[in-house]
Amino acid sequence: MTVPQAASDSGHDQHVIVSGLVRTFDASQPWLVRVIGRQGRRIVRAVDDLSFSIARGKTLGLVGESGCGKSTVARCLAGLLSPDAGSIRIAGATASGTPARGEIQMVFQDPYSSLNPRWRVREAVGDSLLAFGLASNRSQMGEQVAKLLIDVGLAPEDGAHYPHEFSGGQRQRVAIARAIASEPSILIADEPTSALDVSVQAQILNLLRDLQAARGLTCLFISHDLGVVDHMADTVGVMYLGRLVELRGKEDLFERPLHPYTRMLIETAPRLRRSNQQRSAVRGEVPSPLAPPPGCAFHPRCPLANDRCRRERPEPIALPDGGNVACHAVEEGRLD
Amino acid sequence: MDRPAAPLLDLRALTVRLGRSDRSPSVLDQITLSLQAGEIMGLVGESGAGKSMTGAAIIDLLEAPLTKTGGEIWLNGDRIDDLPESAKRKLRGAKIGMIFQDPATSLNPVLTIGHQLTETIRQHADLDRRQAHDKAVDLLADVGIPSPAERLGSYPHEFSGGMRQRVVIALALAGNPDLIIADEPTTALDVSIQAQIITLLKDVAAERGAGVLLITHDLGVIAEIADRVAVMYAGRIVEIAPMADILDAPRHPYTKALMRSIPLVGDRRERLPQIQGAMPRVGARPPGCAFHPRCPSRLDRCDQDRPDLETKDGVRVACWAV
Repeated sequence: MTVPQAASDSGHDQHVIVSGLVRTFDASQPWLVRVIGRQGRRIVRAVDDLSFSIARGKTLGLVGESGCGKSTVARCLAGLLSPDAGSIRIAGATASGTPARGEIQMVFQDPYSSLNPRWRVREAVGDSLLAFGLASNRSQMGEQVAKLLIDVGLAPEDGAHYPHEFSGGQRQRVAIARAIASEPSILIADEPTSALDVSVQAQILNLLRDLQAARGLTCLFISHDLGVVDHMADTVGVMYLGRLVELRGKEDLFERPLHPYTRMLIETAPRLRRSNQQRSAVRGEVPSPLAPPPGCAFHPRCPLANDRCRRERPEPIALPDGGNVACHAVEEGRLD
Repeated sequence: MDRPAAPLLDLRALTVRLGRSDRSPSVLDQITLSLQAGEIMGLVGESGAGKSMTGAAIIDLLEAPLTKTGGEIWLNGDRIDDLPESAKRKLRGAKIGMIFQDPATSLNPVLTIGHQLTETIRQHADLDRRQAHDKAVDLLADVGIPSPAERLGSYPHEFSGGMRQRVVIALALAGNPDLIIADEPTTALDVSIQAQIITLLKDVAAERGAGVLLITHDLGVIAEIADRVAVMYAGRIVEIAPMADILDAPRHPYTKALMRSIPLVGDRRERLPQIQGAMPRVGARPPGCAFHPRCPSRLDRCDQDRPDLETKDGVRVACWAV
């Protein structure tokens, strides 16, 4: 199958190429319960046949509601989960196709649980230097940690403290310092500011952009907040129940969204403006990933759904702007 | 501003400290605000600013060592903070309804929602089982739960997050309260569900003429429904203004900086203006204006004299620079 190219950067070389990624989870009841209740196994397809690529030095933003599979994509890419099918290729990687160690790093959502409370900041950040052989002894490690802490806007002395002595924003800086310590070329940020206050969020977003520019990082940036994704990403993918329903350049997506789900997300996003018109009532809720609707998973909530949408699953179709969208209504020109 | 009748809710210099002594660190410092019937007031601020504490203080759910050490709370022209505990109990639910952040934990998981609703209804009104059941069906229908009569037999886990929050709202409405305090009612929900719950809150408040104190960290949530907004910082209210003024012309430097630091869909800013530092913790608040170490328009007196809320053109701001 062809790999869809992201809209605005088809000229760049592709750094991360994901094709046909599938990851399932077994959500079955215990064996005895299944036997007594005469139930079968229940398999969740958290990520279902996903393909995208990220150009070197660019950012792909992934948006979608909880349970849509965003974090599973991140974890597959980071190597924390193994895909059931499909491939993840990192350009310039080793012959076996697996990236060099420390090449991909991740920043997690909750800086309160992603740092070991018993480790000093110096140890948390320095551990990966030692692990990847980037520092040969403790004094060398100390120097490099001090540099990293300055890079993320902390002071070298902060290395002597424990995570609980820091605020949420400072902890996230520590987590970022730890992530960039092994000099990765790919950084995955999974909701990095969702646990932070808005004024601190701005600090962390600016820091991530500065680091990306200075180090030429390729980023996968995951957030449920459309404003944050619009600020950070070059290309944006919209996920719904494990599928990528629309993948386009940021301007195209936010100014001319095509998929009815993307349109709904953009329309219902809170904005700092007083509109006199009522928010258009969004129908229904996200169905359970255990029992996704047949055909297009969005059809029960879609204002444009017809018989074909209820039967046949739409596949991504390439758009002239370089993006793609998986929607029968777009394909048939039923969009207004 | 003229205030014809007694306001629905009137907080006068409400002060809460971490301990009984007047020297204990203050958590809430002289909170003064009033809310009219039918009005939706947003109470916004970052974590630790004292928003939820204000809500808890109004219904007297403070736990030791938190102590209300000063100020008065008036509801419908009656002082309620000096009532005996038994009278306060009656106020909760009957006069003041509460909606909490996490719908998963504000319902009892082992009782059907019908049980929880009828129990609450009969607590507040002299109705028999039949009548309470009918009222429960009406309430569920009011909050937009499809086939309400059948859903009464369901347990909380059988509802999705958005539907559960609707049940919580129905519970809060069961006693026909005059005042609804909603503490982060949409924070645990997805964006598309948030919009539904916000619209619902707005509608029930309008239909019943109830006042709503909407506590949230998310300015986007209240931008469309709040009539007025009170902005909190480090245990103080720094600005109270109509929503339109907060959006278009915020006065306090903190409100201004906060509004600018939010990334929005379609703004093409390369960098977000950021506020340096973080909000001081309880007990470590600087003298003078608590915002002065982070403030871009700081004056000489800001680190010594504490500004109080002053009214200018219908907007109340606590800032020397304004």
